[in-house]
Amino acid sequence: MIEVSHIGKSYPDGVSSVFWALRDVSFSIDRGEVVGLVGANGAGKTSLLRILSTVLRPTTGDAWVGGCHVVDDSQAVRRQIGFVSANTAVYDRMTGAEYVRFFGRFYDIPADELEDRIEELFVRFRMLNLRDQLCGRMSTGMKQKVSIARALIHNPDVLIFDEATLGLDIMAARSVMEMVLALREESKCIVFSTHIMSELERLCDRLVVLHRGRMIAEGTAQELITEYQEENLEDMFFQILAADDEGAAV
Amino acid sequence: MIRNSIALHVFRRELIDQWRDRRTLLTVIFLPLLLYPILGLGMLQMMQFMGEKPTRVIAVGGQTLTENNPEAKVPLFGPDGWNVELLLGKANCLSQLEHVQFIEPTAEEAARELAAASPEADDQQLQWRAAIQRELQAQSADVLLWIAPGQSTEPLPDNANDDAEGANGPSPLRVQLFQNSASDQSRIAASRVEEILSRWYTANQTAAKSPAEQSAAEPFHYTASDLAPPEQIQSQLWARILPFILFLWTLTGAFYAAVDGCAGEKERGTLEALLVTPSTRRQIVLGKLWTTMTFSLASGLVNLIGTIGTGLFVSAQLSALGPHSFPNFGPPPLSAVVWLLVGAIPISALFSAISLSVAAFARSSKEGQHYLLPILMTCLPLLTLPLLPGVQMDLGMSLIPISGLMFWLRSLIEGEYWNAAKFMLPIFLVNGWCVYLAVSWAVVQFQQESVLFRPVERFSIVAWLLSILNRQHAWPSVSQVVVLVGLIAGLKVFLQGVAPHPTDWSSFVAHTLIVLGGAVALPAILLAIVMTRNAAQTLQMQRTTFPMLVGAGAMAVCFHPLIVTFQQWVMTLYPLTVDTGQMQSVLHNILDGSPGMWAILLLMAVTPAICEELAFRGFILSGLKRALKPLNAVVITAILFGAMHGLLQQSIVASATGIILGFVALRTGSLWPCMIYHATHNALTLQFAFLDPELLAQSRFLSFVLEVQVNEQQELTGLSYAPLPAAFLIICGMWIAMSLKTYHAASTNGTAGRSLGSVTPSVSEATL
Repeated sequence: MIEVSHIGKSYPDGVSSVFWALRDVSFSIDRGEVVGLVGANGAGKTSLLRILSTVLRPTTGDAWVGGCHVVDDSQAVRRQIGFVSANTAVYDRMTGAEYVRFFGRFYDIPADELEDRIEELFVRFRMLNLRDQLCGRMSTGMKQKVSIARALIHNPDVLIFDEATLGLDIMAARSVMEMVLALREESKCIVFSTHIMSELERLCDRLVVLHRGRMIAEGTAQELITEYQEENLEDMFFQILAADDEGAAV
Repeated sequence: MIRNSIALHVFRRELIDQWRDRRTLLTVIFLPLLLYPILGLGMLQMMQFMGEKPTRVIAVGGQTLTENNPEAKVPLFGPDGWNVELLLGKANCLSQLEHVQFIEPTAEEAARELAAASPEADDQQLQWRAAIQRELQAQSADVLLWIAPGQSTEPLPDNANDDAEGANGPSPLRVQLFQNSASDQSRIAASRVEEILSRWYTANQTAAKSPAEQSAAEPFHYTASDLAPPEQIQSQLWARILPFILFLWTLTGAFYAAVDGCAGEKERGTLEALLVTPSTRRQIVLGKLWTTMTFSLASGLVNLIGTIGTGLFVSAQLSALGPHSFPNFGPPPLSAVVWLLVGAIPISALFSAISLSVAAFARSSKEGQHYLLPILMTCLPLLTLPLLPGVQMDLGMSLIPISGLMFWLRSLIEGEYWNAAKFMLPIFLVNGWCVYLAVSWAVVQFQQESVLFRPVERFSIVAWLLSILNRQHAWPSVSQVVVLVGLIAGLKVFLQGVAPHPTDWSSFVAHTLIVLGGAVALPAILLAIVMTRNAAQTLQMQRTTFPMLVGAGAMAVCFHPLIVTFQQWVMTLYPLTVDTGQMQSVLHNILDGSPGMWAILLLMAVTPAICEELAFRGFILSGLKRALKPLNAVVITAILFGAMHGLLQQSIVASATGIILGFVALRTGSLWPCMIYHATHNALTLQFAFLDPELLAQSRFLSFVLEVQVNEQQELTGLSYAPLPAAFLIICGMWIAMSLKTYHAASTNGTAGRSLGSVTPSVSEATL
């Protein structure tokens, strides 16, 4: 469903140099698979997810979503994805339903069908109280739930969550996690980036570890724990990063 | 009690925050440094339109003046127009009043009707005034001066002391001035004519020796009549106020909406969700444009309603004081309101597009708001231009963005529908093109990752200086190009002020060398040395072949007819003002003191070619062609090159020449052919200006190639190329341009497609 091949991404750094946020990253994700993208701040997770959501262009390499190239066929890619970012950005002067409806109209969904879909999403994720509430008056968790509803309005096959639980309190984060778990049951292809190891253990079939723009490990949580001979995912993560830093220093 | 140390602590943090905000620094500190020199150059361009235009006067009965007033010591008119003695002592007066057209009264009845004309006009007098108005329009004149034999001894209103004597003297002439106070040009003309009449009156009285003679010398009784109906005067007042308010508020309304819709959305983080929808960036920009337009329209219209409401209230209050208290102030006419509603749509579209393109660049609302002032300062001169007295709508004016639209609206409100209709197409084409460009630029910004996801920038002077001193760049960056353009603009304004004013040849040489060398060449050379690794490479001082130099010179000769024709078209569009014409005659006088034509060519053809090419095709094009598409780089360089010339006409022609020069630079990859082209072009232009008519008459070749325009006195007034030789030369020029490439392909053994700049020294037959 998602194919990433030797992706690299650089940004101008100062007047004359460039900073490589991603270098030669390759992996693939199948339909119905949930892959966790894990890495420290600045590892390149957001750059990679923005490339997959066609907002950024890769400097090198290629990526395909649902068989469509992210640069050459970006419109087709956008129709297949739902993107939720960490900043819970919603239009403050729109109600929850208005916000979701506004985005639904980009996907040429017939009006009746769109209303049914909004109703279904608000009922399913138990957010009917947000339907007529102005987004500006919602808590951060509520806003993120509305954002997820927005990303799901066109029933995409691929869902990209970029640190979707960042900054949420424990109740809101759990609520969002439950939403993602429910989507997992629908055999969606989900890419989920987070710092929280417990979320990764609970949600993801497979992990991709990024560090300083490079992919340094890939596998299931159990495989990685066994490989690095650690007791849990968090220790494994520190071990991998420390080993990579030592390698870079040498 | 407030602890000052804490306040200082907060102050320090705020200061650091502002100091590290590069955009704030740019807009608050550096932009004004750049903006004011550019505005100064803009003002020089606007002076073209502010120059006083000659007044056209119809003098009815003027030629029989002396016969009718034999006592007059000083005549009002000479053999060819005004009496020159009366005009002396007032700057430009001669040129302002040079157009006098004499018409003799066709019937005695007409003179009687004129004599009977009074402010309390009846139907017959209204018809009479309408006839005069038609005559003024038919003759394209500004005022009509009617001089008729006097019937009464009614004294002049401002000459009450002479009443008693005048009443007993011989019957003086009656002079009546008809003007249209709703027209700026007519008002200016009337004041000029009144000035001359006053001088005439005084001159006659001064020439008279005794009081009796003074009384006898009283040359005329003066009456001024206004042909403009009161409603036209009122509409003229509102035609200036209302469009200005509409323009100002549509711009302000558009700007804040655009900043909120672009920079605000980036700041709030909602833009990313929009970008991952299956909508194109153009669709997003158009949606935002319509929103901006709606707010712009609403803002403009609400403020218009406020202004019109206030106008109605004030008008009602003033009319209560009596009909003669403020005769020129009345409520805004209904037609004005209708036209403002119509005009608000294109105006808001233009300002919305401009605001959107600028707001799309801003990272935050704070940054976006810093851009309002530069936009306002750029637009205000264009808004003010149509309000200047005496500036009239013509094709040239209609091609100026914003100003043309303002003029169009003003013409509609003043009821000059034919004028508005005549120039509607060029006005809408130009402003529509501006909207398209601005929207396209906004779309480009929405496609730029560096604009959409620009990180917080921190400005560090130390890092900037280090980066300059490290000389890490092979070519100038766009920001370094901007720095050079700012330096050239600033230094040009400064050095033109401090350099010796050119009054003779030596001061002219000093002035030219200081301005061209100090403001254009020196900054380019210094920046190339300091900011880039290889100054010679940056300035495109690459070696080139002798045939290319000859080819560039030949191209300049061949394309000269094209430039001359274009220049003549530009001059028709934007005629030189009287002041500019006088400046040119001053220049001719200075050049008469030169050691010879070689010196003129060295100073005015070769020196500009070297200095300007170093800066424009050297530094600027070098930088831009690596950041932009080659065509865009050439066009932008040419526009900057044109903008650095003082006169609008000169700027347009220089921009066109700059495009050819950019083409030569791209093709040859060297500055030397550009300098040769530039110097040859300048030399030909100078030869054109100083061509000896006798030489032209004697030379069969020149007579075949050139066409001469002469006036009634057989004086040379203009020179142009004959169509056939011109067409032949232009075709040759195009062939030479193409053959430059062909020559290169042949000389490098079939390596077609390589740039001409990559010619190696081994294949150079003769190199510089």
